[in-house]
Amino acid sequence: MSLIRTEGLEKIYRLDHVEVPALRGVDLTIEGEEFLAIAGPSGSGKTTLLNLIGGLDRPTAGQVFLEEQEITRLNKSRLAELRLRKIGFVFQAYNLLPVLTALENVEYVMLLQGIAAGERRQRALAILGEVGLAEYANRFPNLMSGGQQQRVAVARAIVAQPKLVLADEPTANLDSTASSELLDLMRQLNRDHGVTFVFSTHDPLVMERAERLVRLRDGKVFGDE
Amino acid sequence: MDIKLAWRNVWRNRRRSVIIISAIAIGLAGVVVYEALTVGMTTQMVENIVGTSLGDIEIHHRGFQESKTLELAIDNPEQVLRLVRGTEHVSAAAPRVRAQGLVSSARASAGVQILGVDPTAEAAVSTIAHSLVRGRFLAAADEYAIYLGEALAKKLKVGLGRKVVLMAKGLAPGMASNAFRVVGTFQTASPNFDKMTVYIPLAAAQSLLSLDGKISEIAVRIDRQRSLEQVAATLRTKLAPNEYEVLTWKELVPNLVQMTQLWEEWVYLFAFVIYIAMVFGVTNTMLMVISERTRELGIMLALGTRPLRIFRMILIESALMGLVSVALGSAASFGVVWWLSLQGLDLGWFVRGLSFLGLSRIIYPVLTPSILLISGLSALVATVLAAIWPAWRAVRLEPVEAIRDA
Ligand SMILES: Nc1ncnc2c1ncn2[C@@H]1O[C@H](COP(=O)(O)OP(=O)(O)OP(=O)(O)O)[C@@H](O)[C@H]1O
Ligand SMILES: [Mg+2]
Repeated sequence: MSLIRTEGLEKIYRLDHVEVPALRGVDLTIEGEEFLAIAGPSGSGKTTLLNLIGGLDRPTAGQVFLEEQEITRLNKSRLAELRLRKIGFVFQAYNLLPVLTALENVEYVMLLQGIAAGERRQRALAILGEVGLAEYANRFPNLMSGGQQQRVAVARAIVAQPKLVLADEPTANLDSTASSELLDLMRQLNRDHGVTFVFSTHDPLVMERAERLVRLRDGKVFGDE
Repeated sequence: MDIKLAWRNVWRNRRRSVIIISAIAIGLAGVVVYEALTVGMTTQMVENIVGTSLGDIEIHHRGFQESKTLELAIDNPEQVLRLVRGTEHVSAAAPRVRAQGLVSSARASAGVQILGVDPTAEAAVSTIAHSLVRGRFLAAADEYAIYLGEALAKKLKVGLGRKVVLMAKGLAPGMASNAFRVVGTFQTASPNFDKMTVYIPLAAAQSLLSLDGKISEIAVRIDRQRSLEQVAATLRTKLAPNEYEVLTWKELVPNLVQMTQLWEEWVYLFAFVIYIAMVFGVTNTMLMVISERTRELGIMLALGTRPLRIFRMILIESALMGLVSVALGSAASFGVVWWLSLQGLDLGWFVRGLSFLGLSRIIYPVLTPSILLISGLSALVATVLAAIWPAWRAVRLEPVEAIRDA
């Protein structure tokens, strides 16, 4: 059973009577425990594809299956539930809720899942240790570097034990050292927890680190290595 | 955690929160102080009228209230008084003779209302004995003594110990008259009352008017206003309805009731306007909050936060601001009311036209727990209601668009 399967995925954005095709028929299968990069120039449809896979948006045509369950038909609250249970998200920047500390940010997802306070705290502290930020637990995001913030975001994405972590250009705002460290961390978590990571990038250095590289151009898959 | 999150969110934009919180607090304090002053003013008015010359309840011979004629008198005062005094919630009762007459000194004369009273009983039902300016109130041993308004004494140009002549038409044919010695003068909240009222001992009035032991009315005070109707009803069942008429002060001075109601309505109108302003202010603030946090809300939604939870978070945030505002506003109104109750609020020229209603020049606020509770709760409800629309907008956000927008 594949983790993710898309069939003839199309997305057309409508901007005042102008139609912008962002994806034009993407067929892609992702297995469990993969470490996959989606690469492509700006405007090639990376963000659109990740949003559709993550159940954040609906395709114009085609389907997305998560563990063979079609998610494209689910209503808003079912999608929210699905995201909460099965998918972790890391965005480009400013991922964290600014009024919560690193620890509370990580706890937040578990709070939504209804996990008891004691367990929440314990698991959040453990995962912050894993991402190397144990001593930053009580810091607020504005007092952390961009790299540290992204690590907390990764910790938050993984703490709820999802099947899949989707990261849209997680390194775009980081310098090369911080980017490299973040990738090491994601790779390690991918191995240790068996979680599939799918991240987008247009940075060749980041692409090199992927186990599998899917290239997008003009809304189509153009290479799969 | 939800409350912690909301609380921290409130203080994120400190300046804006402080502004909106103080605006609500000031509005609330305004409503509470205005209401307290109105209650103070109306209770003073009622007390001034009811406590000076009426009574919470008056008992007359049926028909007296319309005709004011001495013929319609109560001829068994002792018996009725005993009955009244034995009624629950009656704190005092006093017999009175009420008649029209003319008072003259060597220098001038004036038409007056003559009140024949039992000094001890009268002191228990009315405040007239405390409105003393010079001399003293009537005493039980007085025979032909008179206690009159300071303004009237000035007009008659008489001082303490001087004599005046009272003339009136009693039950006997022809005009009756007698001389009375001035023992004291009074001043009440009503200049008109002071200019046209004299008090003499009950026995002197009865003999002047040939009443032969009869009286015009019995004034009754009760121990709490909310029992007014109940006490009146009890008295009505105890006293033969064809002979006696029992009237509450609300029936005796209906325009006073209307006036107090009118003032209450002004308070409601004012409060309504203030609360509407609060709703607009909070709605506006929360809309700004939502638009500033669009991306963040998008991330919360993307992570799987249920829309209802976001809705609740926004309402909690608003409610917390409301709570802080209500706490501050209540404290402020306490302060202002306390200060005003020491100073009194001098209405000055404004009351001159209204003094016939017993309005005092200086009013003292009365702050009851129910005023504070109802106004505070209303402010809280207003702030929460005001957040509903903004919260609804937050819920309607599409995570993808919200995240991209910022
Ligand atoms: N909401 C939208 N409305 C209209 N057009 C959109 C919208 N979102 C994306 N597009 C268009 O769809 C195409 C694909 O956009 P997408 O954001 O998926 O590309 P991307 O590969 O993520 O680009 P980048 O590297 O710049 O993030 C682009 O032409 C973009 O302009
Ligand atoms: Mg993108």
